Amino acid sequence: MSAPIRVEVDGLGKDFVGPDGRFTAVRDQTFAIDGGTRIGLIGESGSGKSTLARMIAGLATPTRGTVHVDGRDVHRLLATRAGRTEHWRAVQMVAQDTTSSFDPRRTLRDAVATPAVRLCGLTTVEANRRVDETLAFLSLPAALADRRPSDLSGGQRQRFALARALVVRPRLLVCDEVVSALDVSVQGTILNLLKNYSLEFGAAMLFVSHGLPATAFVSTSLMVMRAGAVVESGPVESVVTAPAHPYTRQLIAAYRGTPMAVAS
Amino acid sequence: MSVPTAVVVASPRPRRAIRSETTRWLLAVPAAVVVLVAIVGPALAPYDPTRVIGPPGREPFGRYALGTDSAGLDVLSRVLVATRTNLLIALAVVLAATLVGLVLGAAIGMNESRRGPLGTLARAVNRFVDLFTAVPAVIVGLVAVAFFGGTVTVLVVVIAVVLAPIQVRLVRTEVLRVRGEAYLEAARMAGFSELRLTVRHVLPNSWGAVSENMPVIFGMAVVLTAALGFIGVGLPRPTPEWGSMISLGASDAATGRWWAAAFPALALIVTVAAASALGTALRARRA
Ligand SMILES: Nc1ncnc2c1ncn2[C@@H]1O[C@H](COP(=O)(O)OP(=O)(O)OP(=O)(O)O)[C@@H](O)[C@H]1O
Ligand SMILES: [Mg+2]
Repeated sequence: MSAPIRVEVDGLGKDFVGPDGRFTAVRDQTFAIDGGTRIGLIGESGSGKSTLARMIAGLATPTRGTVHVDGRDVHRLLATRAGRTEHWRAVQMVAQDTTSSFDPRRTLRDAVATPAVRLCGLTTVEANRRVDETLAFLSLPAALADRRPSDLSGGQRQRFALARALVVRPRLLVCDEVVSALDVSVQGTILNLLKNYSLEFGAAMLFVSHGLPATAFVSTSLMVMRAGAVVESGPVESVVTAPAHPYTRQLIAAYRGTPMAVAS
Repeated sequence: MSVPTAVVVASPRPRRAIRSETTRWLLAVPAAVVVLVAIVGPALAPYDPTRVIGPPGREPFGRYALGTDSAGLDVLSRVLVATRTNLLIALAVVLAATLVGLVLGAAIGMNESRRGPLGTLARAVNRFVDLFTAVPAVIVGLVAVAFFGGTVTVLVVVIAVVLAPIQVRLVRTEVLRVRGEAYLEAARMAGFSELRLTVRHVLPNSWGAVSENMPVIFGMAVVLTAALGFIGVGLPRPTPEWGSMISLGASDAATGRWWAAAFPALALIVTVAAASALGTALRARRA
């Protein structure tokens, strides 16, 4: 188990400039994520969850504010080669599966092994062993790795996308709707695997989802987002049983009678 | 239960995809023949293509297989040697235009939506390329040949400059498409720089469309070379070249001696058609 990560989000905000002027997708947010915590970031469509998550991961440039990982400014870090290696070794993000999650011209093994070689400095042999371990962890048959991405089902491809992120053993994994496109039984399996990863490696997780139940199952705390701002956050138990914000109450009510009720 | 009434909305019938492997190979045959002629043709030429070898205006299919032109040069020998010249020029143009297309197209496509000086530069270059598309080849040709003289190098550069914008725009379009693909973000998270990313993922995934367009550029280059030769800003006479041969032979054609212009024209048409067929074969590969 590596040193637990500390992520500090400070006044982080993003505007998009569109045809009808400036639009604030994320209003200056401040919070921290500690190693070992699993945060469910929930909220309605368009509330800015993906934008916030992408800025935290370092894939989107903030308009305002900073993200520090272990005390270092992420966007400054990403400007140098050494900084990129350091950052992406610590932080990885997986998004909802699309057919373009993988380069159609390369094998899946190549895609999964590359980050291990480049970021962890493994040799090809070591990287391939690491790939096999990771695939086994995600219950993926190693034989599938020699296929082309287009040969796989959406669910298999999504697991490979997770493998590509987990192969470097990140200390923060950001998951944006990683299971939304999968059927419910597979959703549970994958979320549990991710929870196990977090427990085993002490990694922090950020699960972005507009669905409450599945996220709440595997999270330690919840953040509820609305119109670009986090309106409520806290341990899953307290947010679910005693929601403070009317919007959260509305969200919880919508899920009454679902597995969420069992979870709490 | 309702039976759907036949409301058939007229839709343009999609062009039938060429499915058979055999058809694809057959489509590549004319191009192979033309290339073969360019390679072995000059060695088979019966006479020196730049020397007077007989009386002017001799009819074809006699002592001189394709006749002689108004100066008494052998038309067959000239067509054979010109095939190599015209093909080499067009080939060099295709390579140069595609290379420029890959470099500029990728540079523009990867940077144009960026903030800061790099983005501004990319957008400026893009505008400049668009502007260049509007410049007529003939004017560029006239000016360049006047300045630098009619050599193969000058011709190649001039025609490549005229045609490169097509490849630049095509590459840019492909790059913009690939740039939005999720795997690029994954490659970024593997620590690749934007340049490495472009070389590793963006260009290989753009190459299909670009290579399919190469025969099209080739055909255009053949036509432009001949056009410049026709108006007299190509290679100096009597260098065998289809365009100048056609223009020289055209005056004879008016008096019934059609061969000096017709055979180079036929070679030109066959070459352009062969390139077009090859393009079709390449595109059919992906369909
Ligand atoms: N690249 C972009 N350019 C312009 N506007 C954008 C861009 N990305 C997101 N937005 C806008 O920002 C807002 C927040 O988008 P975001 O994708 O973060 O929402 P979300 O909470 O993830 O929604 P969903 O649950 O549907 O994924 C939306 O109104 C969206 O239209
Ligand atoms: Mg989203």
